[in-house]
Amino acid sequence: MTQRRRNVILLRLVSLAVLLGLWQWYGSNPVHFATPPPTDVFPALWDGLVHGHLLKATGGTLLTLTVGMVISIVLGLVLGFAIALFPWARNTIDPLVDAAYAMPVTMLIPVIGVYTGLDFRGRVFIVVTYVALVIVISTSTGVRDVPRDLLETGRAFGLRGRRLWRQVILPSATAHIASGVSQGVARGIRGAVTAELLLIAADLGAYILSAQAQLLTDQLLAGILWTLLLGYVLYAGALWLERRSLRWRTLGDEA
Amino acid sequence: MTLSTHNKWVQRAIVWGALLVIYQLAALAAGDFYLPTLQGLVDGFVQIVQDGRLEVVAKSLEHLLVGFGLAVLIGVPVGVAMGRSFVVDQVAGMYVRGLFVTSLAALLPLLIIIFGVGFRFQVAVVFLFSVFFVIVNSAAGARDVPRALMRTAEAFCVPRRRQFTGVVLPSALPYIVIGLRLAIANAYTGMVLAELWVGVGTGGILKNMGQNRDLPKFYAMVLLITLLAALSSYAIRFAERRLMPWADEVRA
Repeated sequence: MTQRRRNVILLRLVSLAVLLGLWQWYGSNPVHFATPPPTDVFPALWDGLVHGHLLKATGGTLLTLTVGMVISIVLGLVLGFAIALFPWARNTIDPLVDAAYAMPVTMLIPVIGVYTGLDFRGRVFIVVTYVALVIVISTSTGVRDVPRDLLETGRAFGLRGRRLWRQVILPSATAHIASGVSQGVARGIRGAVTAELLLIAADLGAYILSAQAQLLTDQLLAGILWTLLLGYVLYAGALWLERRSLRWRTLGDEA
Repeated sequence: MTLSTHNKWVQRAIVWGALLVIYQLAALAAGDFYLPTLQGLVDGFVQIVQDGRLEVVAKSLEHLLVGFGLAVLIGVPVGVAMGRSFVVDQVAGMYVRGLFVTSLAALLPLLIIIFGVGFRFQVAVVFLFSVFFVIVNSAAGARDVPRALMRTAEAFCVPRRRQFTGVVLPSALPYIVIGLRLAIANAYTGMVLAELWVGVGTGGILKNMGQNRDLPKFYAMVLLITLLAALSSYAIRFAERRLMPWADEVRA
């Protein structure tokens, strides 16, 4: 196993080195002016973080994401529980949720300003359109699909009504909901960045767009790289939190 | 009362009908400048057809198909290779999974510098927005080939190539199809995003209608594209049921 682990790290490092090397070789050729080599991009990234307003822009993006996530989670839990608990709601809302899920919400960007304005509220609204449905779906499936043996065991121990809910159904649903939230974070950051780029330039989007407008390609690439990394780190962090907070679920398997 | 309210279609008729009525009232109260009425939506759709907008949509769908086709052509082999080979998985996997979860929209300003604003840009965006769904799901399918099946094939001394075409592919295909359905949905997002950015095609029309606050036409267009996206996903599902009757069994 440690041998395997070593191989994994080695392979990843080699592939990263090869990629950076290729990029350096490709970018150093003056013909490819749009993609400056890493030796230009990483200093620009450092510069943006230390002297520029990259960190402040990141803060703004994260604020949009956070507010959007909170609204989505509240909305998603309410609708999700309604769908799971009331057959009426399931029969009528479920198909609507599916239909809404099929819609490329990006299309709404040209008119969102009409309802929310183009600033912060508009960006938060886009994040909510990206995230809320995932939470609705994960909540309703989580509450509905409690493993039968868990339910039976709970009943066998005399749990009923509210106690069955608190001790069996909710903990079991939490796992689904948490994974919905993780996915929501990934979608949310996409929504936030899309909004910042397309609605009106703001935060990270503004950083990238102004670099593009001035053809500062090293800054442009630095901003893009940073944004991509941010999305990845946020999702990885959400997954980590999810696993940590749900560790009790796997305790039984290890024992 | 012969129709019971336990029938889900009765419930749907009541709730959806009520929602439509509420929407119509809200639209009447808010005015065409904020929400189009139902009548307005129908009129908007008729106008779109009369203005020849459908041809523009067809042109956009062409870009979508090229980008999506490329994503399938490249994504399936890469994904299957990742699922079957430890080395490929380690070398390519981290980039694929990284780009899969992050916000690709940030790449658009770079793509514009590289590809310009024409056909190649549209296709590249659609490709990027769909390819990772194809790769990730193909890899999952190729990885999860039931052990017992592989053992049986080995026990019968099936040559490796036959193992691949006879065991690995049939059991990975249903997963690949899930990937295709997720990918086509995202390809639509990519298509709209690229067109909104440059202001051409369907996205360009949407942008114009939005700016002129021609909301009846705008929402009619949105509904049309949503319908197309849903139909595309449904078409893939339909094809799967026809061509791969074993699919549900594999996924279960």
